[in-house]
Amino acid sequence: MKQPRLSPIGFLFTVTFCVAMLFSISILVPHNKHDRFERHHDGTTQKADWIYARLTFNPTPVDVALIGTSRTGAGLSAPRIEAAYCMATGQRIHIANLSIPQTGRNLHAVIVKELLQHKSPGLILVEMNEHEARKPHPGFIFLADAEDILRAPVLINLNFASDLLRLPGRQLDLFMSGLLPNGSRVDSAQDHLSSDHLDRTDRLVLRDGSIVSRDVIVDRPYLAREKTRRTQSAKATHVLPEFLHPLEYRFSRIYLERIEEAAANAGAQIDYAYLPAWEEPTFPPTLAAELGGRKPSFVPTPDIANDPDLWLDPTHLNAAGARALTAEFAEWLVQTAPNLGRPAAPGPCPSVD
Amino acid sequence: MVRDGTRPVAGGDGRFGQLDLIGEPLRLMLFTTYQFLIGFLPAALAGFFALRAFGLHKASITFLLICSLAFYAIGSLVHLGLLAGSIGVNYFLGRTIAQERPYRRLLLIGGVGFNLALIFWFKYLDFTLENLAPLTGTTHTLRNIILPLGISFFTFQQIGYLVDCYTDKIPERNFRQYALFVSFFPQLIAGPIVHHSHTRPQFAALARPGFDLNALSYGVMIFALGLGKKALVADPIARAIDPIYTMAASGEPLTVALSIAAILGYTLQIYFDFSGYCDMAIGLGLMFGIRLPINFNSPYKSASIIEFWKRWHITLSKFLRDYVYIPLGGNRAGEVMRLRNIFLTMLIGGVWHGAAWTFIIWGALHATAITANHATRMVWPGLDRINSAGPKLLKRAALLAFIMGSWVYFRSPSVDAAHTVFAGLLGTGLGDISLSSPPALTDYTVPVQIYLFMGFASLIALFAPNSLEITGYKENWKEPLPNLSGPAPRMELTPSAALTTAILFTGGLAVAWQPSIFIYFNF
Repeated sequence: MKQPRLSPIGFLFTVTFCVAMLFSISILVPHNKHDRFERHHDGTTQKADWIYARLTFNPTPVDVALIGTSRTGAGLSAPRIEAAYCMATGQRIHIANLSIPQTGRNLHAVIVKELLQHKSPGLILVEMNEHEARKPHPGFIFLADAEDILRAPVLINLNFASDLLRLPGRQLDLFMSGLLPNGSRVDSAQDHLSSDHLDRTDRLVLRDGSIVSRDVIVDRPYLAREKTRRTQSAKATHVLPEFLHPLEYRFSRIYLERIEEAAANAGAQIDYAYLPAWEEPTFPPTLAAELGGRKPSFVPTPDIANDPDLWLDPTHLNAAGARALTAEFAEWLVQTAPNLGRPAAPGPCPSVD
Repeated sequence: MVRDGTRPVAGGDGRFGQLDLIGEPLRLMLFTTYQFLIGFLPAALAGFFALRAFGLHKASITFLLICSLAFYAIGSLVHLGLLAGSIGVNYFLGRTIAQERPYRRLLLIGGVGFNLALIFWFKYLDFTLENLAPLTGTTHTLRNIILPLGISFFTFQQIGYLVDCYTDKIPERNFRQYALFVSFFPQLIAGPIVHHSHTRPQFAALARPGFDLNALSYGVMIFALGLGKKALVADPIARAIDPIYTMAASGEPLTVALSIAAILGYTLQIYFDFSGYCDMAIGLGLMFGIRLPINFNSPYKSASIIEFWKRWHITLSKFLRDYVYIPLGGNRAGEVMRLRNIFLTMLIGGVWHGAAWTFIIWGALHATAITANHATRMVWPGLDRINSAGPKLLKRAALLAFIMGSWVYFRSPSVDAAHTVFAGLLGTGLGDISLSSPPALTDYTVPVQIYLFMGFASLIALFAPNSLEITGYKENWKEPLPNLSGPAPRMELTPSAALTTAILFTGGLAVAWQPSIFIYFNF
């Protein structure tokens, strides 16, 4: 039967309507979440596979979860905190450093959601910096559940439209890859089962297997130069006109609220830790006001922030700096939450060195 | 603790990731990115048609020019000045050369030299100095000059324009239309190489009132077909075979199966990539009422290498014929000189694709083949007329084998890597012909589904009608669209065509969440 010929307007309208329908349907196609976390589309999300395996396949509980950026990854050693906590209290606890490089509270919410689906942490520590990023995390589109991408805040969310437009592609791509055998996948859950920790405070293992030591002291002029460069590119507390100030940190506030709400529903305690930059020892009070009154409970002593020998660059501690920060953090943890990990697990305290 | 005064390897917010993966993200706004599909293109169309709706037809041409320059600037802001300067110089030269002046030949030589110097500086200088260094006993430090986007295309297009101004003496007097002729974004980055005489009347016609919604509809349809070819066929194949070429580049021996996948896969990838790009360029042109020349016409259906080059990158072949082969003497100095000119023209065509020995070898192979084909015709004119099923099949098979082999040089990052691929094919790699069991040195295998997919894609490339035949597209802007004089078009403005267009468009958009680059954007 010969089909009716559409007018050009009718044709264009039909195409547009069908594209909209197909887009909507494609969001609903299923896929394997493990596959989603195993893929390394973005350099910042490479740790996601370990995080997923740690939370999903590894039976070791999580008593304390560290949520943050590369500052947390470089600055806090989970095994050392466990050892120090055990030495101080006699209790063995399990800490998971679930930080992922790059700022963006939306990804913190993704990690916390995953954490609470699989584990029952007593405490969730969320990183705070002297600058609160306004931008979303670039890895959100790769790791977040479809429903979380759809319900992301629209206002002052620079990635909302692009994430939404990329979502059908991601869904179809993951769906299609699920139909293929694992011909090109090299990682597997089994590789990670024995790994309670992915500690990046002493060294960094790159994808090609090469190792970058963090046990390095850099020249002070280099630090100063990098800090100047960073300061020049850093934004002021407000970049929007005054009448839009209430919206400027809305993105972060919404996600922090969601994190707190999810933790409360799961019976986990939420607290905040200040991870400083070089020569930035204090958390700005003005920023606390912008974040709905939230401010860090843990703030390291100024000695760490001000000692140039403890920094690899202006925002990341070197190995010695990480040891110093870890020690202070462990001490704070013992004082703040002395009853984690009860009932006590049998056996001696773990040793790190 | 090591005290180190040098810059540390790791550091900076998020820089771990960049260390681990790749360098700078691609800024080029490809036709397959959602930025282009959802942002740039609808905005350009909306602005263009809105201006025309308000009777501002000349302003719509200016708007199209601004869009084209913006498109270029997004990908290569630093080179926008180069493009603008090149347009300005060639516009001025064209007008001057077209006038009856005694030194016009000198100006033409200067103009062609200027364009060739530009392309040489950016594209071939490093390569030349690097290869001359051992001969001169010097060392050359690579400058790593960034290649301006589309320079091979917009310089060749303007060389052609200058020569035409010299011979025809009809320069473009409207600067806006000249600038648009060079920078029209659908063809700016990767062709087709357009003759000024082809688009001149069409851009002039845009200054007159009128909407062509029929052309817009067909443009959307052809664009979607191209998007589908690129995103749904070429890119998945590319993702499967890229690791094989990476392995070859690092000297890892390949299995027979992997070599087959590499050779067949790239043969199909470049076909669907370039064919898809050409369709997208034509579709985009149509959306704005411009018919671009056909650049691709089912080349794998050819029965000889001569026919292949009449079907593959047609506008480049025509350019080389008009502006290289004929100036070299063409067939005016006897058969031997004709063969020499053919060889040199094809060799230049190979070098045009890139400054690397792999492209030179590829060009030399094709130059040799096409010269041999012409020579055979001279000594055995009846060969072309032997077209019964058996010999025809044999000729096509031989041609395809040659084309596939030559593509290995075209794709490989080095000559050694190409030879690694061939070694794998001949079984002198690992000698393992299995598809599933991984070889000793690597755990990479190509899923059997990809082999099946490549088989399906091969059938399309070898036997299916191409998208321009399906849609009845003709490059002559005065012919109706679709042109019903030939075989009946299979895709008219029907509901099923709209659904097919939507499926292809959605599929393309879906893949656009992590697009790859068009191969011909590299040249």
